[in-house]
Amino acid sequence: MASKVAVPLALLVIWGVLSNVIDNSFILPSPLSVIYVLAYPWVNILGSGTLLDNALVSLQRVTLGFLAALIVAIPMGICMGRYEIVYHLFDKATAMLRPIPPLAWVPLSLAWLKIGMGSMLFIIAIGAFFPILLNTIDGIRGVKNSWIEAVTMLGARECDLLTRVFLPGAAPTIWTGLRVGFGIAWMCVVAAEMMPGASTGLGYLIMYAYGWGQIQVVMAGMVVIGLIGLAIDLFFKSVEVKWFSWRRLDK
Amino acid sequence: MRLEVNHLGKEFPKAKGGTLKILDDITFSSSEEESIGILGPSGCGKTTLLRIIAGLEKPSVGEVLLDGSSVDSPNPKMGMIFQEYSLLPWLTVAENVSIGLEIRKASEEERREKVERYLSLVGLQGVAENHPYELSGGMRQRVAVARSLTLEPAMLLMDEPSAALDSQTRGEIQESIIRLKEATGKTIILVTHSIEEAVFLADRLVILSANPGRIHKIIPVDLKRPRDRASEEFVRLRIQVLNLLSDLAVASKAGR
Repeated sequence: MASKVAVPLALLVIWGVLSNVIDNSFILPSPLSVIYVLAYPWVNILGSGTLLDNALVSLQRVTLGFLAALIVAIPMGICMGRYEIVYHLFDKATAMLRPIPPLAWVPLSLAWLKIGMGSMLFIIAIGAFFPILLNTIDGIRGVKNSWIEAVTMLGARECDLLTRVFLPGAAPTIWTGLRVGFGIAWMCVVAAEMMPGASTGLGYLIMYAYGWGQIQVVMAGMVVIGLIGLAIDLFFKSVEVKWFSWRRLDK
Repeated sequence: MRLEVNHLGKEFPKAKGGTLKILDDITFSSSEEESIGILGPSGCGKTTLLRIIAGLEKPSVGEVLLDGSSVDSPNPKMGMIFQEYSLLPWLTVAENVSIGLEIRKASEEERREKVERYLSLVGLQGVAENHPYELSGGMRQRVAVARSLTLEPAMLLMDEPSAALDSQTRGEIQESIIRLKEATGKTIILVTHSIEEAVFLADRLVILSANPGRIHKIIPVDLKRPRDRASEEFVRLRIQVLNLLSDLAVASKAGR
């Protein structure tokens, strides 16, 4: 335990010393002033809403964008993983679109969907889409032939195979895709909230606070972004351990 | 249930073009409640033959008839036991055994009753709530046997059911197959590379030669049950089959 907190504590101390030496809260505010902001998450900051409200708005957006990505990526990944024809149909197109960073989509998303919720969700969904798609394809392809044939011999049709073999068999890998996808979506939401026209969310809050020279708010916002990301990742991991331990044990 | 295999042949396309003949003019049949052991040197296509009988693969020529009607896709009258255990690792033993009944939308009562009956037939009533990875290889294979029995097939196809097991558990699974045969009177088609297993379990042996797989000889096993592996007749038959197979292996190497 001591070894785990040693580095964060040391960083905090160095930060405190440095902020004292620099003595300019526009460049490096003291840790205490940041902790002070964090300690009162329900207080309205400069008329842009509270830390808590903005965090909830961001969480809502990331969830919606993530769900939109998942609804398309999982069925598409299942079809691409199961049917060679579908794979060849989409393989080249996805391989070309995948390396384009979500932020490169900002101008197009604004042109197509205008300023507001739509364009933000688009950016978030783009970020989450590819990890979910690729892991779903991998997961479906990793389903053992002996499982498929054994269940086929028991009278299963294609839809039985899908629900009883392919989905549960690929679930651990798909879950990994969801975890990675949500992580990227969370990064994208902050970026999307810095787009023109945004007026809520953690990304907006830190840009807004920067405009007012409130660097302690910027840093407090960053801490919240980090903590929420961490909490979500821990959630995904705990489900993995609880539901998908068979993959580790079945060797 | 009566199985007829008529002039069956199978060819696979080769990577460099042309075709590779795996099976050629295979013809044999089984009577009701008979168990047939299919033996042959490696490369004789015995597993392919079993997969065609099961309906998992299509023959290039010829046909498989089950009580007179043609088999071209998996048929619920046939249960198959694979070399790998092929249990679904995310399900418990009971859930694995009942999956065929669930697909058939059997009532919960029927499922519970049959899972219990067939797990106890293979001697595994105590592990219903365990997961497959908690069991030994031999136990897993018995779960697979119980699973295939729940749909009450008239015929069981077994693809080297004991190949992945050590010799002690191999004996165990062979004993359960014998008990099963006596209890249910099912027709059994067994593919194996173990001569001892085939002589122990089968009523008749179909010996295949390799490259391509052809029927070399069909030998009746006229030994009384329960069979004693140490008895003189058992050993004599074993040696006879062994000699036959070693000649075939030499011939197939020379033919290459």
